Amino acid sequence: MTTSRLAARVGAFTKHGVAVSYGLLVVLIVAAVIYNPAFASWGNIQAQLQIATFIGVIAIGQTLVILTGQIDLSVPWNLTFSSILMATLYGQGYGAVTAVGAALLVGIVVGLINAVGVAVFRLHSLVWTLGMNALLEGLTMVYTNGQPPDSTIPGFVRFLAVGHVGGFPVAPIVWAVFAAITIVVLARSRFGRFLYATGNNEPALFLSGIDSRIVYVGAFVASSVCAVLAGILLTGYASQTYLGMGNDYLLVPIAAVIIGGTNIMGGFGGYVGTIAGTLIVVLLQSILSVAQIGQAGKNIVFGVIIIALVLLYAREARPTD
Amino acid sequence: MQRREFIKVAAGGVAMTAVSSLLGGAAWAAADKCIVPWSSDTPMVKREAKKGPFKIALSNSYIGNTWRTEMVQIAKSYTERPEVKPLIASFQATSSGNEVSAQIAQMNQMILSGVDAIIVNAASPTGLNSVIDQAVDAGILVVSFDNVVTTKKAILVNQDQYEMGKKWADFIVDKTGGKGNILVVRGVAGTFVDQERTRAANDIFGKHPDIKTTEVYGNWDDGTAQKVVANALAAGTKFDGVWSQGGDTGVVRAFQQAGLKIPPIAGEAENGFRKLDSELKFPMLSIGQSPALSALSIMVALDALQGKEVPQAVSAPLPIVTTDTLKEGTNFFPKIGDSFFTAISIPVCGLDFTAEQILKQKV
Repeated sequence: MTTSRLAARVGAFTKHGVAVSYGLLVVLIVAAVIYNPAFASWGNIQAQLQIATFIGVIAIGQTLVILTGQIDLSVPWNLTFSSILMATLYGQGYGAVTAVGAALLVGIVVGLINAVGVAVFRLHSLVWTLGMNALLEGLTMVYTNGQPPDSTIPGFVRFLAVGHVGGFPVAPIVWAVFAAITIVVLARSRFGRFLYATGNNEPALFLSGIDSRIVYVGAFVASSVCAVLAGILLTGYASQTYLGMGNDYLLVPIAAVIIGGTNIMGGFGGYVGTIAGTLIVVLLQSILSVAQIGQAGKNIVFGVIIIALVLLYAREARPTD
Repeated sequence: MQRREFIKVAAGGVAMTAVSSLLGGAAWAAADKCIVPWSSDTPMVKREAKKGPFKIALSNSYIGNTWRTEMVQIAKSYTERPEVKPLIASFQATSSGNEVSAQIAQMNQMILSGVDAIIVNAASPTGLNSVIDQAVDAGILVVSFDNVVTTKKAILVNQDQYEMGKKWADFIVDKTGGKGNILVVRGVAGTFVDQERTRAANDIFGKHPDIKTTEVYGNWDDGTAQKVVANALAAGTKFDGVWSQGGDTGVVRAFQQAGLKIPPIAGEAENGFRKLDSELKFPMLSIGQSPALSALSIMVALDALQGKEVPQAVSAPLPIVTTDTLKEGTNFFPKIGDSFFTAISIPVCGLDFTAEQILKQKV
């Protein structure tokens, strides 16, 4: 398979997945506005974008990891541990830069360890990162002795999470910046191409002289750092850190990636679709909640949508050769 | 199998609370007593008196939230009290995670090590029943609290969740004059506690035709509650009161962030919720599931081991705090994190703890 054919196929599929997910998004928005015109209000749009930011940022990392055919299950306690570390250090009088830097360092180290398991020991990330998650949960308990610190949060973290610039909320701007970088990296850089190639056919990548270990390192470190960033934003939003603050952020971002048309087995998809997936997940939650559909109903709707889309995408993605 | 058993548990629980709400007046008349039977038909249990000191074990399931860690810390703190210590030969607390099989293995270890009593916060209402039977057959006393088990061989210690939900709802009805839009922030869907508390809310609000409720699920989690409440507020409804069973710090922050006046809120007992109320003075009712249920369970176990008669199901008092009864350092703690659970004492049982006493204990 030549690179150009590969690229063409990736392009074709991405377009298709993207088209489906954006189509669904438009339908949802229209339905929501018809059901309740307040949905189109600026206040509500801000609220939705705010909530979407946490999921969207984590979904950047998950998109990269899933494109390589792996998955990152260490997000919840990676997010929690690094946020609590940041808040604790800041509360102890270290500067905001040190506190946030330490959190990001945790992200890098966790990402590296995740990558080592997959790239060097050749273990599946499903097991390896789940173990990492448990390890980080234990570390958090030891570090906090069960009680996260009082809520002193650096001012600029609050600003990033809930601040406004010219009437526009800052958090979605942060997300937009990272989203743009991700899209460009995936579409234009060698690293981006190698990510797709790793998920598609790792042996072929190896035979063409590329070290896939580097690709895994890039994907897992990016994912881990994204989890930390989301944790920092979430800390600013909630004005506190607490045990279990990451529990909601394991499966929802993965669902966003899948709904956005990225193949869970790797090799196809991209972040443009994930953006739609993220907004769909958030909007759907919101609509179902405002329409007073109970939790059981919500779960059924989500399940049906994910199953339907995965089936649809799987048909499209089936190799023809 | 799981579903059938779940229905059985739920039905049992419903029957239990139905009885207790019928007899609620009587139970509450006795609220100055510590160890109160769940209802009038709760059987009493009397064991042959043993001589102490006793080996006590605490079998916990999930440990990854502040309520659970405080619960373990309070148990440790209680066993070190001067009046309790002579009765305790050894006390060990272990957490197995939410895997039923892991907790069964853990309890088997406790049985093998020959403890006198096992205090258990269960990963499943039914999954531990067989290992509890084994323990009881081996002469071990089992006391189940918080997430209680269904077997009658264990002594149960818990707070009445229906009563808690009812008190919250009564407060909101009182503060709103029985009319307006009420935001109902539920907990984790499908749990017994969420169903019981919400059933009480619906029973009370249902009597007031001018009350319109909107339900959201906050999962008893501040971040989630803040998001779903922000969402509900953004949809344009103006809320006159909030009935919330957890994640209340997040509930208040969502109102703050939307730039709205904070309505009367009835909720749980998180430190952040009470800290915010001490600043903002919105009408508040705060009732918490107490982490000191662990200490109360040990107290009941020690009584039973020494041959005192105890009820098979104990209804623990509800620690109630309002805006007027907030007291810094006693029922809220400005220097401690928002997620700290403040209901650390059950005064009627002499179970008074300070935050410092608890937090110095290793988890």
